[in-house]
Amino acid sequence: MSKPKLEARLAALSFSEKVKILEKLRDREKAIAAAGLRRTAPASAKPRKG
Amino acid sequence: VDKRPPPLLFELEAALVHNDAVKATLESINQMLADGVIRDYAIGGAVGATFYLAPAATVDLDLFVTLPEGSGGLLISLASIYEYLKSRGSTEQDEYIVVKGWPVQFLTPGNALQEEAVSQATPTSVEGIPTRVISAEHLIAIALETGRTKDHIRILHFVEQRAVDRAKLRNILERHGLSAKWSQFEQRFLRGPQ
Repeated sequence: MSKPKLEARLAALSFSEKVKILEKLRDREKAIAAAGLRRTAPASAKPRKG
Repeated sequence: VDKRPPPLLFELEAALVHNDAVKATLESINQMLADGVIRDYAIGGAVGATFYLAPAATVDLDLFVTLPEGSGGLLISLASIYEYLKSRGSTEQDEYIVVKGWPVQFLTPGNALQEEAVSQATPTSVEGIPTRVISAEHLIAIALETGRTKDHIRILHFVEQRAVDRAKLRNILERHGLSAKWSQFEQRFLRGPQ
């Protein structure tokens, strides 16, 4: 979906639905700040060759 | 010591749940209104803009509040807001007071534009909790007046998402002496190089 279409769909949500998204966005930023992120899955999670 | 590796973004997002914090925050503000600590309020800033636009991440809730008649001056009244909320479990954090999990910044109208923005705010609700949001056109005018980079970006979002009544905006800008500033903004951001 193009960015303008996605924005239009999000903008058309009710204020209550948008506030839920705001809360998740904020919690996401807080969680990232608190935990840090790694860029790749751990080796144990990668599929084994052969 | 937790020796687990930090999470991947999708692992972190999967653990997030909606927490109703804004609803609880607005319930507290409405109770403060009912108790006469403030006369009126309206949501501004990024949360206010979200009423009209696609949601964008923000860390705080900006509330424009008007104070009861004869409340003894701005500083005394803001102190009474803080005392009221702190006695009910809120805590101070930098320039905010954290109310039910959301940092709130209380702003008192500093001029006629901001007073009008509060008085003409749009009634709405968040999950059944009544509240009021500053109109899109007043949010744009206040952002133009404030003039920080993030304010200009917000104005551009309103324009790009066609969430502004141009005639209503023009009327507000003219009445509050912001027409020249708007022309400069248009020239710089909306018309491109000549």
